[in-house]
This record gives sequence, structure tokens and C-alpha cells, in this order.
Amino acid sequence: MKNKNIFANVWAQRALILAVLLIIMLIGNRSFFSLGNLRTILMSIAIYGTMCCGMLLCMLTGGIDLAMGSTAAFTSVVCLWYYNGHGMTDGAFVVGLLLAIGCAVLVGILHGVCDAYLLLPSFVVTLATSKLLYGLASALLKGSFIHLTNTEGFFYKIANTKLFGAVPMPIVIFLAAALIVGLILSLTVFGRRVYAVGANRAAAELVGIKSRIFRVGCYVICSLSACLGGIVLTSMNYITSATTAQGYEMMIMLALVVGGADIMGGYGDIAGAVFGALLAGIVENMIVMLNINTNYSKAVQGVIIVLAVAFNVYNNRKSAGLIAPRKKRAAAAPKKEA
Amino acid sequence: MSEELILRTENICKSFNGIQVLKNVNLEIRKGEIHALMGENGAGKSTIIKIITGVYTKDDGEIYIDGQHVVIDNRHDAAEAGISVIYQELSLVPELTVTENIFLGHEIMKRGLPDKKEMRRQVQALIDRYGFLLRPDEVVATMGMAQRQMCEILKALSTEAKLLIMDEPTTSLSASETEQLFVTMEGLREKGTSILYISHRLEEIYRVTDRLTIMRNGEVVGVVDSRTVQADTVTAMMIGHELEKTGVRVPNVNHDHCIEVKDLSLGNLLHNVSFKAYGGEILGIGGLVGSGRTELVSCIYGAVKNYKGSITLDGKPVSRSVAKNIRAGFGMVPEDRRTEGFFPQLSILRNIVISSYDRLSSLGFVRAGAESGHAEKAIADYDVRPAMKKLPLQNLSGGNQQKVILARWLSRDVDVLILDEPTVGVDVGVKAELYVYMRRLADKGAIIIMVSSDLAELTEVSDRVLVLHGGTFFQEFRDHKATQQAVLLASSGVAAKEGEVL
Amino acid sequence: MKISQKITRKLITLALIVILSAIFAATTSSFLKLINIQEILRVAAYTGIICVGVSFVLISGGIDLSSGGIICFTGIICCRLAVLGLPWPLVVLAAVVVGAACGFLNGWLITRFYLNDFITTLATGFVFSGFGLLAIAKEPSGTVMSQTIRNRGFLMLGKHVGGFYYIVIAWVVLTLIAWFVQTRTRYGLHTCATGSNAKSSEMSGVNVRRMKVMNFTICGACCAIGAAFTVAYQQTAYLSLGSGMGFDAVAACVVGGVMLGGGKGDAIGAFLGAVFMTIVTNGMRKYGLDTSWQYVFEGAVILIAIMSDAGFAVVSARRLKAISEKNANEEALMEAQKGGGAQ
Repeated sequence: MKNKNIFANVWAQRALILAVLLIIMLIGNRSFFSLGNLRTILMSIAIYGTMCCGMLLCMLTGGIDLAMGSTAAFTSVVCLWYYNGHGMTDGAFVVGLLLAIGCAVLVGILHGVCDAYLLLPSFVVTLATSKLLYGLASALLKGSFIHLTNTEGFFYKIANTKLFGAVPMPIVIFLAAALIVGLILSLTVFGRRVYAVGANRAAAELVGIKSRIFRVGCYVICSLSACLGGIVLTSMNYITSATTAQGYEMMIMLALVVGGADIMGGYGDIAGAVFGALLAGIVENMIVMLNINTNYSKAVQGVIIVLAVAFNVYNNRKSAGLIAPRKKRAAAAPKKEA
Repeated sequence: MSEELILRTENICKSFNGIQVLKNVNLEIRKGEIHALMGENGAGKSTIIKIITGVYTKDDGEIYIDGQHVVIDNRHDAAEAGISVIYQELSLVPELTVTENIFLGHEIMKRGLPDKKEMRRQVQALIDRYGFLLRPDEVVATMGMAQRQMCEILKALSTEAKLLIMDEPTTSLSASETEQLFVTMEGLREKGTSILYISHRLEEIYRVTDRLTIMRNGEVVGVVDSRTVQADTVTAMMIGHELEKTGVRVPNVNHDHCIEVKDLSLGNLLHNVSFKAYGGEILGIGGLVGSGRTELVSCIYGAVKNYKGSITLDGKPVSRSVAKNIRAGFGMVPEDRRTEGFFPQLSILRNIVISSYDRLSSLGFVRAGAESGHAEKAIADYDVRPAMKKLPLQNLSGGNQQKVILARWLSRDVDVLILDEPTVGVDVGVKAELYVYMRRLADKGAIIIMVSSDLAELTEVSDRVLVLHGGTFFQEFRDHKATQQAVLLASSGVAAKEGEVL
Repeated sequence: MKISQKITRKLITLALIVILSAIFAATTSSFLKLINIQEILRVAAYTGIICVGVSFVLISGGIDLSSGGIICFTGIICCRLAVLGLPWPLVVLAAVVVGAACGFLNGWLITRFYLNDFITTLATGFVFSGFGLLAIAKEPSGTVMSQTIRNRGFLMLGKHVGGFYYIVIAWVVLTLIAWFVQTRTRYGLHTCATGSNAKSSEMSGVNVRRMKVMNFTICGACCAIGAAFTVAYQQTAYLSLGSGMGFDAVAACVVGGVMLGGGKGDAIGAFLGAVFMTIVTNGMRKYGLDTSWQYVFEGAVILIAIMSDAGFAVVSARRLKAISEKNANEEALMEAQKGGGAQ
């Protein structure tokens, strides 16, 4: 019974936050609700959301990947660079995509090995690789842009077709990614083990889970989702460069912590992540629509992140009995008798 | 040694949640003596220490230091009164030097800066006075365990401690380091410092202490001269009256089904250990903390892989992979359930089924109905309370958490179950239940190996007891012949002379 | 005499600096020119002053990625106040107070609410930049206006004397003060103790929380000083001031041996780290490599630095283990002899 209340509460809180935001927009700028704008919001949510799905796995096992933006930029640059250099055929796209995927896998393995085997702090490692990948992408393009000009090819069509003539492909991809990760987490043994590794690595080892390999695997999935996000983004904007998806890792982290994920691992779910992505997209758009200087958007992100983390820490400490032990003891006593 | 008392406690009482853990404890420690305090786990040793050092407040009673009545409400008061504790987990800061550690928090200042020269001089003087093998400028991180302990003692002495309390100081020391410590302690005694020494090891009590206070169930049951007292007297006092064996069960031992460990060695911890554990019996493994018990069972389970020697199950070698062993029917309840046993924020359900997905999934997908049914059955079978499968495990009582961990293995009918301290922090009622479940599993023909420090548990529950001492088997007790006293003596390396097998 | 690990680590960094400088000097014509050396020192001083502050936080076991945001905020404040014509000491003082307040906020949030320090400072860094935007001069329409400082007294901070920029002098002085504080005072001792083992330190009577908050505050103040000099040199402040500095300063510290996790290193190491990173960047530019490769190189250097520190830790752990095993062997031998004697 108690459990159900908490569940209801979480969604009540989330609905309340959304309602407040929407009311602000009703007063502030009605054009927020125009179809065109809603589409813009959905598109940005789609990219954030796709990348969130990978990062969620990573965070559930107690890791963090701050190189997601750079990974997206680098892999999309590699893909488009190969594509443009080899006749812009669909075949070239497939090879380019495989190259990009290969790079993402390597990046993920590097992150995972540094974290799980060398026990290095993941955020420093990923910030460093973020620099490195940004530099590589920039060096590959000599600091310039690269355009997607073939509007007939498959690459272009990724983001610019609509399923059933109505739903834009990036949203389909996001929903598919969310669905897949959601199903992995709720239906597969892998998902169960991801939570177990995040909750207690030593205990996971003792029930036969190779926790380190799991963590490396989650970093790889995370990099792959960044790669996917980068490719879709490139197809959406017809252009890519080293600055593609720059700063996205902050938005993704925001989305995840707002959705209740904990960077120490073990907490979080896909519904929270999707809600977080939704909120991130709306907040970003609101700042534009309310004519606030875009430089404030990062500050707003920062405030939201600190608040969300503080809220999560408070909640987790409370449920672990670290806050107000007296109350908890009083609550636990009748339970025993029951 | 004078008859003058440095510390006297009068009728100290303490209760937790209505359960009285100390009843009128009167402790008397003389000036310049090494006084031992012994008692089984839960006898109240650590509670009385925590009251003397101001960690807990007493419910009733008085404390006198040097004949003066003192009030000790916090650690600071205790330090003022001249009481210092050397904790099991050392409280040194590794990156600092010996001198810096000793004066950390109360540096000698000169013109607003720490007076390094003066502090160094004082430390050197202390070192010289007590004849320690330490250098004042050595960084703690680069020192061995024994030296760290000395540094810790020095830190206590630097605050003019009249009474040093040492809580199992030798657990992490090797034999020669222990000897070094004893020489140090004797030196301190000559200089007039009193030491309250808490230990489980009888041989240490004989070696170094003058008098011995024995506690049982929160009461002092005797004060004896530790140089003349017989080991069996001490153990008898610790244990109280030996419980009558409630009808010796004859387990249905299946000698064809067994785990055989041959010449198992692991670093400095285990030396050529060999034994067999049979199906249908509960094999108890006794010994002191640090005797290699946990490492031994971890090797069998595959959690520790770099051992030498062979482990076989029915003649086939046992894998060094935990996952493979689990599939082959192994299970383990680890020593510290909080750090290694359970997943605190995951639900009861997830905690139970986590080891059984080989049966509850197909093609990597969890069969949700089977999973939930499995957990529900386990919760009902093993009476987990509250019986809410979605509740995070961290919100359960210790006993129920342990039930869940046990249910994790029992619900999949394990063939080999390893239990390491299965009832620590579990209340009496739940304990009895856990024993019933274990016995039921044994009766089904499974091999059960149980490591325990709880003597009553070891002698009552297990059919056969092996006692480890110094990394090798010291004694074996067959057919329920183990008595708490004999096991206690054996773990201290004091053998009942008449033959190894009782 | 045995050279301590602390000094070894610094010597390695120093040797790398010398070797790299020699290579750059031999292969490029402009590296050793006076003007280039001046430039290197000036740039290193900017990073270096921030590193001084960050080293305090790192030694106390925390991490601060918000320095970029604090630089932006305090730099803009300097600019606004200098334009108003305030005397330079007041301008710098105001900036330092604001910077310290930002640092204090970081420390307070982290210790009061048990927050993870890197996420918190990463986020507050953006918040401080947002404050900077609030403080920046704007046209009535709201667009950002660039302001050029003509306050002579303040601009003097950006000048040099006898070939040394004032910022370089400030850097050296701050480093020496910090080194003194970290190695010779009670405050430094308690900082190191907090980072090395917070629990033990608390038991010994060190106020761990206060140490953490204080060190974040110092870091904020250092950022403000660095910002003041840089703004004076550039004669203006802008929104991207200090961007990326949060991580660069941590990276320089790590390269100089101020390890993540606390308790190790000091301001001299941070000094060397800042010099190393600047020389690398400068030398690469001399080779005509564009900034992209600098990013690649910086990323790689940081990865190598933390990996080698981890490797170093493993090696020294193994050495300790070897020593204890040797002791155990001797012990076994002793016991065997004893046993022989008894028979």
C-alpha cells in the first residue's frame, strides 16, 4: 500500500511540474503551443531521449558518460565524411555507419575499462575523451563543417521521412529506443542484472554476475546511443561538425536526474528518463519562446540539476533510513507485529 | 603493580530498545596492570567500552577514575579523564607522518604555525621512552600494520592517557608483529600505564595480561588472575552452563556425495587445508576472526580464485567461476550481508530471484509469472515479513534481510550451501527459523558448510565441527561431540590433549 | 638518501617540461624567443592561479569544475566596476569577495545536502555564468554590449614590469603562499588529512565539513584573482570568459601530481602542471598544428596522467605486499628455528 502511494506521488509530482510549465507558457507566449513549435520540441526531445536511453543504462550501473556529445559529433562526422567521400551512395552510408559504430564501441570500451578495471573516476575519464574526440572530429574536418547534400539517399531520409505520413522518423527512433531499453530493463535477465550491479557490485559478483563486464557493456551501449543520436541529428540538420551535439551531455544528465536516476547507480527507470527528456526539451524551448537570452538556458539547466540531485539524495537517504531515524523506527515497529 | 585502582565502574546499566544489555557491571582496573576483558559475542564487552569512552551514555551507575567520580558524556570527556581507545580499524591518516598523526587536531602552535620541531622532539621523546621502533617523520602509508598500531598507541599516550583500551588489536597482525605489540605493552606496564585488553584469544591472555574479567549476558561473571587460571575455567565461565544436547540427531549422511578439499593453500592465510564435507550433514567451521575461515569458503565457492590445491565435488573439480558453480547448485550467504549480501534498494522479489534466472527465463527474457511465483512462494515458505514482494530490502529488519538472502538459495534447492556467519545481527526467534530451514535442506541430502563465531550455533546446529587455527585445521569434532568449551579452546590453539578427533 | 614519492612525481613533471622545451626550442625558431616565453608565462599564469585554488579542493578530497563559471562572473564584475572608474584594489577586492561567495555556495551545497561534488560544481559553473550574464552591461534592448575598460589603474594589472607580467608575479606569489599554507600550517595539515581519510580526521578532532567549505571558498577567491588579471590584460570581459577552464585547471593539477581522491600533491605540483600544459599548447601551435590537435593532445595527456597514477598506486601497493610477505617468510623461518630448538 505504502509503495503504491510513493508511485502515485512521483507521477503526481511530475504532472504538477509539467502543469506549471504549461501554465507559464499559456501566460507567457501562446505560440509555444503552435504545431510548428510542438514539432520543434518533439524533435529536440527525440534526440535527447535517444541518447538518454543509453546513458540510463550507464548510470544504473553507477557510471557516467560526459563524452556523449563529443561521441555523437565524432561518429556522425566519421559517417558523413566517409559517405561524402565515397559517392554518397547508400552502400557508402552503410560502411560509414559501420565505421561510426566501430568508433563508438571503441570509445565505450575505453570508458568501461578505465572505470571498471582501472577504477579511474569516470567523469574525469569521459571529460578527457570528450576533449579528445572533439579534437579528432575537428581535425578530420580541419575545423569546418560538412554538409549532407544528397537528398535522395538513405542518410537524408533517416530524419526526413514520416512513418505513416505523420510521425517524424526521429521520434519513431526515440520511441523505439525507449521501448527497447524499457523492455530490456523490465523483461530481460540483462536488465535485472544491470540493477543488481548498480545496487551492490560485491553482492552481484557473489550471485555470479560479472559486474565489470556488465559495466563495460553499458558504456558501450551508451556510446552507441550517442552515435545513433549524432547520425539522426546530422540527417535532421543536413550538416555536422565537431560542435554537433555540444553540451548535450548536460541536457541528458538533467533529464536523467530529473527522472530520478542516481549517479551512484541502482535507481532510475525508463519512464523517468522519458519524462526527463520531455522536460529538458520543453525547458529549452521555453527559454527561446520567452525571449530569454539563450545564455541563461545553461544556468537554468544548472539550477534544475542541483535541485533534482538534492531532491534525489534526500529521497534516497530517507528511504535508506538515514534521515529521521526515529520516525522510521516508529513506522517499522507496527510492521513487525503485523 | 599496586592495588590502587585507576578505573572503577559501579553498577553500570544500559538498555537498547527495552532490552537490557548491561546489568550492574562493576569493572575494576588497577594502576599499571594489563587487564583482559573476555566474553562471547554479545556479552556486552563493546557496550561497556563504549560507555567508558563516551560513545554511549549509560542509563545508570557511576564511573570513578583515580578514585574521583567523573562524568563522561562524550569522547572528549573520556580523553580529558585520561582514557584512550585503540580501535580495530585504525584511525590514522595515511598521507601524514607519524608526528603529524599524533598531533592531528591538537597541534602545538608557535607564532600561529605548528611547531614542527617541538612536536617532533616530543614524539621522539615518547618513542625513546617506550622504546618503539618508529621514526617520527615516516609517512603512515608506507608503514606495516604493526608499526601503524604502535603509532596509534603513541597517539593515545601523547594525550597523557592513564588507561589504554585495546579492542582486539592483534586481528590484523602476524605472529611476530603480535609479539612486538606484547613487548610494547609490557613496556607500558612498567611505566605505570594501565591497559584494558579485549581479545578472544586465550593464548594472548596468558601471554600478556595480569588479571581477567569475564562477561556473560551483560554481567560480570568473574575476575580471575589470568596467569594461574585454567583455560577450561575461563571458557566455562564465558559459556555458562553447557546446554544439554537436545537429543542427538543422527543425520542421514551420504558419504558418496561430498566436497573434497585437498591441500588448499592461499597466500599466508591458509596452509595445506584438507577436509571433506558430506551430503546430508551440516559441517561447522569454527575458529577466530582472521583464522582464514572466510577465505576457505570463498575458495570453495569460486569467489577467490588464486588458491593452490584441489577442490572436487563427487570427484569432479569445482570451477573457479562463481557463475558456473551456481549453475552446478552452489549457493553462498556471505559474511557481511550489507556489503556483500543484498541489494539494498531493490525489492524483496528481485533480491530473491536474482540467482535463479537460469530457471526463470527463456532466451534471456524473464518469465514474469514464474519470477513472481517463485518469489511469492519463497516469501511464504521462509516467512519473510512484511510479505510485500515489492518492498525495498533496506526497509526490512536484519533477520528478515537474512531470511531473504537464505531464501535466494533455498528456493532454488541448492546442492551445496555455504553460510558465513549466518545469524549475525539476527534476533533469537528468526535464528531458530533459519536453523530449521538449514536442517530441512540437509535432510534433502545437500552439503552445508557453515562458518560461525557463535559457539552455541556451531555446536548445536552442526553435525560435525572443524576448527581452524593459524590457517590450518586444528581439531575435528565428530558426531555432535563438540562442546562450546572445547571449540573455544581449540580456536585459541589450546588443544584438548586426548587425540585430535574427539 | 631516499627521495620521497612527492618529490619524484614533481621531478618527472619537471623533466617532461625540460625535455619538451628542448625539443620545441631545437625544432622551431620562435619558441625560445623572449616574447614567446613571456607569452607562455602569461598564459600559464592564468591557468596556474586557478590551479592554486583547485589544488586546495583536490587535496581536501573534492573536485571543483565550476571555476570557469566563477571566472566568467567575477571577470564581468571586474569589468563593470572598472568601467565605473573604481580604484583597482576595490575592484579586485569586490571580485574576490564574490568569487569566495560562489565557492562558499559550492561547499555549503555539497556538505549540507550530501551532494556529489562533481555534478554539483558542473551545474553551479553554468549557474555562475548565468550570474555573469545578469551582471554584464546591456543595451536598453537587452543585447549584450561590449565594454572597453579605460580605467588606468585597473589596466595596470594587465601590464608587465621588467618583462614579467604582473599576473606572472601574482601567480608565483600565490603559489608560494599556497605551498606554504599547504605544507607548513595547521590549515594545510587538516586539508591533507581531510582528503586522505575524512573519517579518521574527524575522529581526531578535525572539522572536516568546515575544511571542505573553506577550500571551495579559497578556490572561488583564486578564480576571481585570475579573472581580474585576465580582464585587465584583455581590457574587456565577455560571456565565454573562462569557458572550459573548470576542467583544464583540474587536468593541469592532475598532471602535476595533485591526485584525484585527495591527500596527495601541493601547489608546486599544480604550478608545474600548468606550465606543462601551456608549453604543450604553445609548442604545438609553433608546429602549425591547429587547435583541434591541441584538444586531442590535452585529452590524451589527462588520460595518460590518471592512468599512470593508478598504475603507480598499484605498483606501490604491490611493493608493500611484497615487504609484508617477506616479513612473513622470515617469521616462518624464525618459527621453524624455534621449533627445532625446542626439540
